[in-house]
Amino acid sequence: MTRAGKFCITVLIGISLLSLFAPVISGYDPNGIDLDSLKESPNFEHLFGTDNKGRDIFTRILYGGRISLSIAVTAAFLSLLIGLILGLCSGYFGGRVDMLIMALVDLVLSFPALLLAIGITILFPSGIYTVVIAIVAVGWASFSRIIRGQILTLRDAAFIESARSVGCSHLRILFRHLLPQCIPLLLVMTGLKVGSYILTESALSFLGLGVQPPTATWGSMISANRVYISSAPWMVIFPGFMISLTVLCFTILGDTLRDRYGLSIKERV
Amino acid sequence: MRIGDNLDIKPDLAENWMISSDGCLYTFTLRRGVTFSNKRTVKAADFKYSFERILNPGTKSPNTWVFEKILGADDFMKGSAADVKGIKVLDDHTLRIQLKQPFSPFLCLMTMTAAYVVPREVVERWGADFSSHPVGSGPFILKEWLPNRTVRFEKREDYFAAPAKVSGIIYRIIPEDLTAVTEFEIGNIDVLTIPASEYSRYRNDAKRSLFISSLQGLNTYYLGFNCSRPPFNNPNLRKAIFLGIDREKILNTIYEKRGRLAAGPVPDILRKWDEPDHHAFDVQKAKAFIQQEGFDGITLNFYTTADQEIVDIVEVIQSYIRELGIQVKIKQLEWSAYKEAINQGEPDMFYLGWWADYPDPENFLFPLFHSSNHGPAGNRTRYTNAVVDSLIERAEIVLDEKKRWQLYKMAEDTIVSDMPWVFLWHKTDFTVRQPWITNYKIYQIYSMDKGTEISLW
Amino acid sequence: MNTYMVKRLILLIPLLLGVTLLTFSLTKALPGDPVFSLVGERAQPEVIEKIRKELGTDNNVLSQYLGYLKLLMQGEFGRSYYTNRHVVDDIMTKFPNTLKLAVGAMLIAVPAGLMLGFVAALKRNTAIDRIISLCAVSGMSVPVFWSGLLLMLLFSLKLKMLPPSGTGDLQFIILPALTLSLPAMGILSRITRTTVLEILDLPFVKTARAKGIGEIKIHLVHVFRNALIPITTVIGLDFASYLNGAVLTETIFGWDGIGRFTMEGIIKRDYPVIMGCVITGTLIFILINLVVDILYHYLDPRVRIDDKSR
Repeated sequence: MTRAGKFCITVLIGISLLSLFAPVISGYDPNGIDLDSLKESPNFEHLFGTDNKGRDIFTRILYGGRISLSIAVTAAFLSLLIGLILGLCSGYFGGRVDMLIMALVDLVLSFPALLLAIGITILFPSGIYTVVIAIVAVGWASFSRIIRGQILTLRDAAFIESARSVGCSHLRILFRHLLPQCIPLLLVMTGLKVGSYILTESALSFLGLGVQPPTATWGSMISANRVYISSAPWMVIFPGFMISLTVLCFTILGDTLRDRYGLSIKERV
Repeated sequence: MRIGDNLDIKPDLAENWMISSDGCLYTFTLRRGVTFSNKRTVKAADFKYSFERILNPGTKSPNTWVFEKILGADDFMKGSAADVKGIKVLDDHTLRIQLKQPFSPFLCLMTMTAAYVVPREVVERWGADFSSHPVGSGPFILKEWLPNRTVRFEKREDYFAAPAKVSGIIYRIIPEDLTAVTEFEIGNIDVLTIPASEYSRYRNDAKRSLFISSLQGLNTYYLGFNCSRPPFNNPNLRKAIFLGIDREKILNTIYEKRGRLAAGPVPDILRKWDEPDHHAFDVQKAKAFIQQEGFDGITLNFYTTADQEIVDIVEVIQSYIRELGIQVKIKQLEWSAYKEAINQGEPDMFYLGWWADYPDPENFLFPLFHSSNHGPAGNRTRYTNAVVDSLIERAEIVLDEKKRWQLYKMAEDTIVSDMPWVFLWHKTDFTVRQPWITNYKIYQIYSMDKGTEISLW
Repeated sequence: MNTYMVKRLILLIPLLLGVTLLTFSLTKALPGDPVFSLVGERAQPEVIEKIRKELGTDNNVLSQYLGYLKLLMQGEFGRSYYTNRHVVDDIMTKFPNTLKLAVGAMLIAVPAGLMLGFVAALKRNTAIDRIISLCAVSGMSVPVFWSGLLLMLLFSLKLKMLPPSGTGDLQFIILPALTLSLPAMGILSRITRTTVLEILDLPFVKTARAKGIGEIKIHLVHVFRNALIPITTVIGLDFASYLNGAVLTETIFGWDGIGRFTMEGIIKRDYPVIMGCVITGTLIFILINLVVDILYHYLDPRVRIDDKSR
């Protein structure tokens, strides 16, 4: 693992721990409105300053991290699961199954991702689960396609032939032989995707969809305070920086894994 | 008609009018020589056409209520009559309107934009696209309309009253506060409605603050309770929540004093009678109520629109209510979805404002608190009180002002003691103008602004 | 190649039908009744019924869908529920704006990205390479709405060099186009770098070097030509996604384009607008993909164009 990779993992673990132990680290209530400390710039009492309702920004970033990270990771996991299963079936069984699944994939991928996610968010009552559902609904498709591509190249390989000739059931072939081959690919994709999902989640909360106030997420913090960017820029700078840093680390991590496994995936995964 | 500077009713296209002694018959004498911007003279028949056009279901106008009090309006809307009986054209310059029963603020209705006159031939030519090619009798013509971006007007020399002093007016719709402010600073904008986030900046700017105009608006902002079902069908809970919110502090801190604390639903300017009793902020009392009635630990839903300024206030209110031991879940909706959810009676609480259609206290009582208006018509809290209903109904047909004010006072006092709302404040409008703008005024109702006063030097 | 093109074009039809069906069902699943936004709130129940009949929302869903398809055949998207204007007109007005923005962003991203990637590849593993790579990844990782706001803060509010938002010509385009171009620049430079590196290691380059052909000529003619394939794909996909409206950028910079229009339509449940924008956007997306595929084929006939291997 390169130095960069190690650095990123450290940072990510650091951020996750900070978020996890938020109540221990900061005594402030993330939603604690304090009408007497409005819009304070960073000082000793409030490391990152306060927002326009007197809430401590540092605390909100810690708690917000919980939400942003858990949404992105959960969505990545679910997308992966669905995409994996469908991709495996599509690539392995071919024929009608393949046509059907790929048609669905094409359909989903024909839509601009963010717009589709926005549309789905509105269908359901707002909250964390809706955001996860929306991201997964859009994200599973590219997983499927990539996995399918991988399976197609492996399908006719020698070891699969021999497994079949020995009489292995389809299921066994799928899970015992093909799946393990895909793991490096999956790891890399997931790493890259989590970063991208954090961006999507923050975009959705920036647009006011998904998680509702007063719960803090990094995206909604930027959106809520963007009118103050000139008079009180710290309100916007810190959450944005957190998003960028986290996504950066995930992406570099994904890169590192990719180089390690010698894979070359099209960037536009 | 139009609204004068003192919020009184003044003649506009109607030069003169007579009201019968029973209050049901209004006879208007129209000014002569008034023309549409297509040079045709305005006649009384045009008014009949314009009013009926609003009532006509095919027009899909949301303002049918303005004319519903006219005799024969219902039949016309249902389709069982070919025209509205109560609107009679006596000759080219005389219009007579007969109401079903007296309605003291009727002349106010005639100041509304729904009552503006339009030429039949132009409407029929353009159909549903008429609003893109409007022709009217006002001091400007529409030059260009880019929806959500700009509206451009050019002055008409042949306006029947004194024509505008400027050659044209452009309204720019700029959703981003920062842009609006920057455009103003550069000098591209002459008059700016000060966005909330920039208010303190302009207030504290030595030069600019000289050019700030402000006016107490004819509006009322409130936290509405859904009175039709538990838990807010219980007036004590409503009162408890009222006591638990420090409205004054919110007004002074987050709202930066851009309004006046509301004692009741009617704005001070319109309230010609004594204020209802005040209740001070009292958390202990509030908590006591809530414990007593056994409401602590419940969860309520609180709907708000997605406007950040409003969400801020809602979040603050939420934290006050949390102090009382009640959990509040906020739900943000886009404006039309929001209105609809409220109209359907979905939320337990919501934040809303009501702006006057015309300057009469009736407009702040009847639509908001009469039981016939549950839902979209205005009474979104579904408040029902037979005493209030009858007071309002009686006041409508009374022609003597003093008697009306008495009835309204009793109604308002009852409403305040029932507390279907937390009466928050009456918002003040602020604009800032460039030094080269003279004769600028803010108006309380948009229909008052004909754009003919303002000028540049 | 012609049969391929024909096949793809024919497949367009079921795909579009699928898109319309999916969008239609999604919009119908949206909670909320558009009637009230049309007639407002103090309307009589008879009027409401009449409007419902006109909109056809009292029919069952299938006939509504068929009715809509009929409308589409006439080249119409219907009228907005809010402004009552023809959706087609609004799309025609706003689409060029988004196009301008997309072209602007491309004009920045493509030359910059290619150049940076090239340089990074040539100077691989040096400090320059690392810096460029870091910048590229950062460009991809930074949320667009944040970078946009920061750019606005710097150039517009502090330096007062550019207007903070609005639609118009050059001075209004710069900031949003720049914001939009950053992620693309990042991706492009990474891809360029990777591809150029791959090609530099290929035998035919070594052969060319051995033959004594000048370095520069090698780079320009051989390396670049081959690098074009994946790069074209990325450019195509990016352009397509811009055309579908960079919702976030348009929102921040008040840019009157399709992305913002679509999103406002979605949030207001303005079904005709939603359907119109999504169908237009998807059509464009698909068409661009087709163009990219054809360019693929032209650039390198050796690539076997077959759906399965993509």
